[in-house]
Amino acid sequence: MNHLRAMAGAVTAITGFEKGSGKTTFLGHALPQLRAHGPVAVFTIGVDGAQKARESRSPASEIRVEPGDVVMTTQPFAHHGSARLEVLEALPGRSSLGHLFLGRVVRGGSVTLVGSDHLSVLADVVARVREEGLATSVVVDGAVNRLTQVGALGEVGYIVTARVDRSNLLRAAAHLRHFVTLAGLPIDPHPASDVHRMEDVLDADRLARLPSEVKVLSVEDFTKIFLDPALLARTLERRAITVRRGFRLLGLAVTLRDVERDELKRALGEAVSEQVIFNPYEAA
Amino acid sequence: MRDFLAYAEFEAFWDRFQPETPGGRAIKDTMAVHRDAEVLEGLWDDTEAALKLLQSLDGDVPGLSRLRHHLKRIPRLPDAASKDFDEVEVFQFKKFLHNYKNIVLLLDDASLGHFGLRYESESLEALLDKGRQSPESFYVSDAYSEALARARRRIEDLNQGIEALRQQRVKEIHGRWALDFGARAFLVVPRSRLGDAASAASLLLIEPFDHDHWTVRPLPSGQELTLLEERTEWLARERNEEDAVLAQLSKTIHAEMTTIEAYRKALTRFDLAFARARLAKEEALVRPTLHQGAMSIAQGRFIPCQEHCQRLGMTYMPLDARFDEPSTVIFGSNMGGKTVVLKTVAFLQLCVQTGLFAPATSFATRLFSHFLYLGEGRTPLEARGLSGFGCEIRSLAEAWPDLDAPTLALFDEFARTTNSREAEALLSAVVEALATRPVTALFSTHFRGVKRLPGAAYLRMKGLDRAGLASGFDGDTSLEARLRLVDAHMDFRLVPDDPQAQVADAIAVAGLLGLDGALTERAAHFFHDDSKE
Repeated sequence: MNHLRAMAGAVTAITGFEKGSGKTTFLGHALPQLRAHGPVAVFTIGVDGAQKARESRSPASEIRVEPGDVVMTTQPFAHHGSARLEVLEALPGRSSLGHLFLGRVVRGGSVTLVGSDHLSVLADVVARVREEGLATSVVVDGAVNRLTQVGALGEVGYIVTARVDRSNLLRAAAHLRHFVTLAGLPIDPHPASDVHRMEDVLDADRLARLPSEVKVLSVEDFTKIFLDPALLARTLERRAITVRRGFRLLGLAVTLRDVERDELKRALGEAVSEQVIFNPYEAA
Repeated sequence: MRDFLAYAEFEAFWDRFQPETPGGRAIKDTMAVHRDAEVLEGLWDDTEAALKLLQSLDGDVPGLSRLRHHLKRIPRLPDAASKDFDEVEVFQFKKFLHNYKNIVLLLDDASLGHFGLRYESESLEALLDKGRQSPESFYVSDAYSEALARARRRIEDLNQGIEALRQQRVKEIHGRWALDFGARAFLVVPRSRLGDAASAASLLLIEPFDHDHWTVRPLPSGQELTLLEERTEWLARERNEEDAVLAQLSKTIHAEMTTIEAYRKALTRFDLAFARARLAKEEALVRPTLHQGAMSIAQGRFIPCQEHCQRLGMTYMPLDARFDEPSTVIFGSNMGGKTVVLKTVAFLQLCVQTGLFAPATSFATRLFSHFLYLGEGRTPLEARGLSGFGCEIRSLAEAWPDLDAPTLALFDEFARTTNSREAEALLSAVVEALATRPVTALFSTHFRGVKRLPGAAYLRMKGLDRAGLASGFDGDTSLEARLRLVDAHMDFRLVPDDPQAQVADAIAVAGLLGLDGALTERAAHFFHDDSKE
């Protein structure tokens, strides 16, 4: 599978628009296959990870790890999981969840991932994992609104997870098409002086206030664009939008419930459908 | 102090002082200004010892690199008050000991003796290394406790048993429905494929996925459930045994805590000294001399200005100066270097009192309790309605009581925003008052009418050397070229001031900076007419 080949040996963020979009399920699918290329480092990002662990303290936020995997968690969670870890580094800050640390799995089993409240800690850890060859592939679990921060980790590919059922088919398809459009915006890290550079978000209000002579807009990255699909489409007919930082979209991991693949493909259109990774848990 | 630091542009330089251990960095972050000569002499002795080490490592790039590698890897030590340390905290002690030991091994006897660095924790280190661990990781290994090893063996056996039973169940499922789980914990299958769900439930855990599909996972057999339950019990026993090991290790660590704390203190002292020594070597700093006599500077460098000049391709002239009197008034034309003299003094004195060596070939000074700067760029006072002059006067009024104690006071064009006669009167009063106090006060000013008073010295920047000035233009009238011309003809040395001297460098500088020649000629005419009067 192309997306797994792209994830091997790289840093990949798995991101979804909402809770229950299937991030952990996708992770469970990807990890065993990535291990074929060497040890895997699995992290969760920012407060979300800590919050998730804090809220649940249940097996739901656990993942299955194998010897050689590298994870970030806290001492109490490590102690109560069935996996056993050796401590490779004590990480800054002590949260209410205990001492955060970087650990390597010495006995496979379950472990709860915990993220640092500070993205710089994750960035340092990812850099160290790469420099010291602690893992071949790095996977980061994080919400889409954290993508900008994930971008700070360097060259990052990402996978978007989505759950589609009959009640949200059209909305989800529009959302995914919109996402692919945003992800496909041309990248121009150093826009020319005549390009209108936006440091903040681009939303309908700010767009309406732009002088009509502005023909090319530059935004930091696509997560800063808050235009609905119709408005984005109309805007792109009249103006070009470029991003100063691009993220490599590796695929859209979609879980279908009561919806046939062809229905989704029709709703997405041919070009976007090519990006879809259908539920890998479906029996052959 | 904040204004004084900003005026001296000292904080950017302080950033170059780079201790590498958590203890060293924490002390650096306080940027303590020392007022005790004994403390400072102690710090400088340490710096000299570290410089000798640095010299001995000259050319030994791998040795120096290894030393810095281990310094950088020293972790912050956990709070010693904790009764029982967890695995992460034990790891921190272990990592500390490993890197500390390697630092001790890399240092020569002189350095070890000077800083009181020694290593005698082999037995603790060996204890923390039990079970073929890496020296920079920690794991409560089986080697610590037979009971723990037994628990883990049992868990391993149970894991294998559980996996074998699961595979057996997967095989049965495959045989009946041709479902291939592979590495997947569950599958989504069409309902039609299973047929009768009630019957399938003997081998599968079944949950609805959607109207047409089930989510299925292998149903553990009764035997597997028994093993799973037993494993849960053994996992709890394993945790208890790990806790017991950690409690025992904690006791051993606590017993050695005084020694470890001594290591930490000695290492922090070495780290700070080594960082000061590296900075001294990189920036050619020298050990200052503390005495009760006059402040004396030979070839003092205000490093921010020196580097700025280098970037512009201009010559930088270090400062030679001696300030024998409590008050010194410094005259000089615009761009003549008065402010740089004051900033150089501030910069050198801050280097001294923060424990660094000083950028000079020699710098003799005393210690000050207070530091005062009055002039442009000072943080505006909160009080509203105060003009620039009002802020200056208010700041001086507030600082005035401090001037009974040893103070380095720098007045950069004090009272420049009021009329010259009153400014001269005010300046004269301040110069006179400070001439009898335990201060070193420097006043840069354009006001030549300041009174000549006992206890005060009067210097001036030597100024523009007009010889060859007219032929200096090479046709390039850009600002950069003009600045280079001013720089080339400006003599930034401090010389005794002749009260009768008539200096008109400002008009010449205005001409050099491109002011219309007719204007500068007319200005010179007025200036000389006034001088005759």
